[in-house]
Amino acid sequence: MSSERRLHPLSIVFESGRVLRGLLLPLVVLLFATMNDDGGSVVILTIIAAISALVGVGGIIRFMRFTYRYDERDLVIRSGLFTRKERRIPYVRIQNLDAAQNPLHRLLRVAGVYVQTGGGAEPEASLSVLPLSALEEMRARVLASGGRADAADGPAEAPSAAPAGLAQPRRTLLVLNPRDLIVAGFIENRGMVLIFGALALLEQSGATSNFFERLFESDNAVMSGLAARWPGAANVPAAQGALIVIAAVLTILFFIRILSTIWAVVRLYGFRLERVGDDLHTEYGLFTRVSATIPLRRIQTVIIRERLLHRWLGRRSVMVETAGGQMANTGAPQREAIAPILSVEHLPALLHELHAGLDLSEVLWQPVHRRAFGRMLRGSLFWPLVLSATAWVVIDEWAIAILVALLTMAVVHARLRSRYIGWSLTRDSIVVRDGSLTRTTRVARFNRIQVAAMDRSPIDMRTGMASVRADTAGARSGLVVPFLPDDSAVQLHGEIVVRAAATEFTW
Amino acid sequence: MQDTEQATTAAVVGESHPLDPRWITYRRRVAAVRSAFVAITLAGAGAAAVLILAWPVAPVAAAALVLVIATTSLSLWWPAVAYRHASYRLTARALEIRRGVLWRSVIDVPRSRIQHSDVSQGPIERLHGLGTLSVFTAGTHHALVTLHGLDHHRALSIRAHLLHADEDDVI
Repeated sequence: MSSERRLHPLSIVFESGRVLRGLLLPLVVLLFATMNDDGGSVVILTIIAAISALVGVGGIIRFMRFTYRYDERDLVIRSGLFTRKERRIPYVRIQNLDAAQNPLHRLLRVAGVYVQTGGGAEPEASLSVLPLSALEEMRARVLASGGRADAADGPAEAPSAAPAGLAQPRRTLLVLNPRDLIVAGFIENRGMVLIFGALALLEQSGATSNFFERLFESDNAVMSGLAARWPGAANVPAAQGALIVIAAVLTILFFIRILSTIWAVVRLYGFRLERVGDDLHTEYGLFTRVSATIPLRRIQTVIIRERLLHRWLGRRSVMVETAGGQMANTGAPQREAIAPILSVEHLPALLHELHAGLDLSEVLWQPVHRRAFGRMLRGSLFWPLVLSATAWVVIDEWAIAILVALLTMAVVHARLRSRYIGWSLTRDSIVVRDGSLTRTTRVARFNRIQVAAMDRSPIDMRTGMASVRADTAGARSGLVVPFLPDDSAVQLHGEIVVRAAATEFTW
Repeated sequence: MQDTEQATTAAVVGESHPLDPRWITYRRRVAAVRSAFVAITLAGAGAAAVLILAWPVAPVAAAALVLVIATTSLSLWWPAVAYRHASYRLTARALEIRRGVLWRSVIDVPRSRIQHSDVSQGPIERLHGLGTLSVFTAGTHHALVTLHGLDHHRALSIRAHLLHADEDDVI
């Protein structure tokens, strides 16, 4: 029974700051709105001062009431402003200890610590903030005594955790330099998220409506410029508008890619993946530095993704699904990819670390129903027809071009996908791959499979197909094999049940 | 009590069993109540259309009548069809549940993956002597697998069987 410990005193500042940020923003906006009205701004300022004082006092009380200690088997956290709450978290149940540091945290050598247990999307406990030394101590105590004796994945794996977390074997698996991150950001194209966020903000200030109004005014410089280059086009209002729209869309798309690239470099700066004993450590981030721990035994599914650009550039992206530790709104770091990008040659070595004995090149892929192509194609006819019909209304015969383009895309997509979907059962796991241009391979050990389901929609029954799902913990889309011939589906389903039932599942 | 339970479950384990036939009656009665609500709503909508929107009475009344008859007969006929396509099977290895008429599913939960299980009875289920077995797993899509339409005692004995089997396992 060790002594009761407190958070770092700076927690008061950080936590109060966090609460105030949420409350004050609307008030500050209001303040600016009433700046001309003296009476109103005084009232607002008083309110702001009062709220800040309240939050500050509350923060101090909360700080005084929050303690934690290390018992023999559990981490005990006591907290509560009015009602006292004692939470016991057995070390065995703790899956991850994630830490997040923004630049201020880094400056002051503290970190926000989030305790993740199985099956929850939110951290079981958040300790904001702890000094870095306390974080190291927590890692050492919690993860070293995390009940490794009950790992039942196979023949007794000798725990490689040294006592008290000292001198654990550390092996660097992956380091990404900024150039890798630029490639990753460019491929992943996450810029849309930022765009939507920015647009939402702009919308509130009315900037977007102004922008579009000015863009479409007829005496606009851009329009005149285009009209000068294509004298004929100036006479065709539809072409004029279409040119503007196309140019704008292309510029925006390109801009989004650039944004995504910058975002990736900032978010994943200095990415480092290490194996420490039986855990994976990831560290990344330029401004907010995130440090996450993933015990290997908590990995439920390994996901390897390759977009078209990945394939062209000889890269892949690897993620894992763990039970617990998905995105949370409480400021805990998101579960990031294990390897946001890595070259194809290094993939087997990494997979070997995550899933000993897995060799993707030796997998015998079983195909799906030979009629899958036709069925996929029939299913994908809806949107091309609808979209070209709507386009017909606007641009008449040009809609045929759109129809042809969309149909070609549909055919290509269906062809690639019907040929690519495959499944296989290895000695200890099920492997599923799916996709057309963007391809995903999912691997899960049988001892991680929870439920096996076979589903047939009315169309499945007409075409003699079925889809089989192997459910795991923490799954986003899960291991699903659609368009299987009936007998293969029954066979696969039965096999999964047999093998899953023969193994034991432990967190 | 334990012996009777084990005797019952001995009969349960191994083969495929349909649901309890009283489930059809239960579903029909629930459907009847629902249809009554639908009829009232349609009548109200029809009346509103006639009185407020000045639609002609005869077509509206005919349409409403047709809809009411269609939905009522469908909901009274359906439970028997669903019953024919529903079954469960408890083996030493797993609990298998089959259900669905248009969208058919076969769900297998290995015994070792059952985190815990519940037996529950809604008030109307209680009137018919039925119960629902809920099985919780660590999965995502099938974190909760339910089996409705069981005889209440049968559900209890299945659950007891699942629990006892856990205790017998050497972990």
